[in-house]
Amino acid sequence: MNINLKKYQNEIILLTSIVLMLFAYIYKSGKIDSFEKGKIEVASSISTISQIASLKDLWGDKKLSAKVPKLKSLVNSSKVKLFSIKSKKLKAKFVDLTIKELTILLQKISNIAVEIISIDVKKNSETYNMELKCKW
Amino acid sequence: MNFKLNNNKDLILFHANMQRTTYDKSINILLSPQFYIMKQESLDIKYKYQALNIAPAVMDELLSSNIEYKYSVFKEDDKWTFIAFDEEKIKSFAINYGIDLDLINKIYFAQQVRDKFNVSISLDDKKAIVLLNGIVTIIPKSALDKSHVYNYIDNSFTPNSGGISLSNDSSLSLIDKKSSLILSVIFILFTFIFIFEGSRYSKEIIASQDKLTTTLQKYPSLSSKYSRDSIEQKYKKIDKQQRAIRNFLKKLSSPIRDGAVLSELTLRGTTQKALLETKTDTIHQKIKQKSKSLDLKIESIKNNSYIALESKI
Repeated sequence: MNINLKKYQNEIILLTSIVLMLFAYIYKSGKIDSFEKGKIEVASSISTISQIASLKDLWGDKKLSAKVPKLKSLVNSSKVKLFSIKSKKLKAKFVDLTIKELTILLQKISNIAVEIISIDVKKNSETYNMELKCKW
Repeated sequence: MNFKLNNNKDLILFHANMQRTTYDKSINILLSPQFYIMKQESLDIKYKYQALNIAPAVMDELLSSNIEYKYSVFKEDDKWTFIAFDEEKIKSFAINYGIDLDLINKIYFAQQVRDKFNVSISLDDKKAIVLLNGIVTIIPKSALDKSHVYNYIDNSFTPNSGGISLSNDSSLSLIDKKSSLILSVIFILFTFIFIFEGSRYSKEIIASQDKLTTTLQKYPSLSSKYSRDSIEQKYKKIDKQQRAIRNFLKKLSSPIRDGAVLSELTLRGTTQKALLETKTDTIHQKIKQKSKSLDLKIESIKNNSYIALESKI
């Protein structure tokens, strides 16, 4: 060891150990920061993924193609003026519906996860006409 | 295998009449018997530290009571060799001879390399150092033949081990060796603790990433953040609009139960409107009052015969 350094060997030993400890502390702090950030990011990503998956399951339900045609059978066929399904899109027109029939139709449409594009209902004396556009 | 790491430093034989010399690099010192008191004992002791512990007691009767001696021990054949020396005397001798104490690397005793003194070494005109009955001793040259050939000290006299270091009184250190070592051990301990904790967090990071990877494996289409954001935006918009439509339909049931008659209904993604016919003013006022709590835009039209309800996203 160089003579001048030897004079300060105690300080050098101490300083080296302090520097090592500081590096280790910086390493640990860095890892804690990464962990905390990662934890938030991962939790957020997993939550987002689960949320998207549940939304996808709800609004992209594959059984809807079987459920939608059943709307036609809820009222007398004479009251169904139009019921056209093309590429997972429905255009329907119902006429002379009683308030009860209208309520049943609206409840049924509400209860299946179709994306309602438009619903237009108009009272015609004592009955109702309804136009429906939806997709899934 | 013996590594003679100290052999690359010059070895200086310290004796009373040595010549004054200047040194500018680290040296080892071999002390002549003038600088130490020695005693050999056959003792049933196994370890050096045990021998060192009893050294003051073993040598007590040989030593002056007003000097603070330091001790060194080593084993020769089946005997323990005890050496007492006055460190302050060695230091002041070195200083008097112009030797910087910081240059002194290790101090050895001539007895440690006794076999090297089988051939005597000349100290000055009158004295020589020789091996006599297994003890390195200084004798007058007159006791030797005039034709006696003397050996010379060189670095091969440096013992392989067992040197001592001078205590560091003259050092500029602000902290003593013991304290610095204790503190260093504590700091190194903290270093290991921090590294251990860091690596534990590192493993936790990997574990949470694995959890995300496992979730993504279930939904490969959501693996990229871009596609996730795009799909999320799409479905959230649908969800918001469709829930608004269904909520509006639910809210309508209340005024209809209270006697209003649905006249018109228009439902779109962003706007929902309903026109309700109220047959009497009482029904009109009742519905109007109740609808305030439904968070809908309410408007009375056609002389209070109708109520228009509207909701917008």
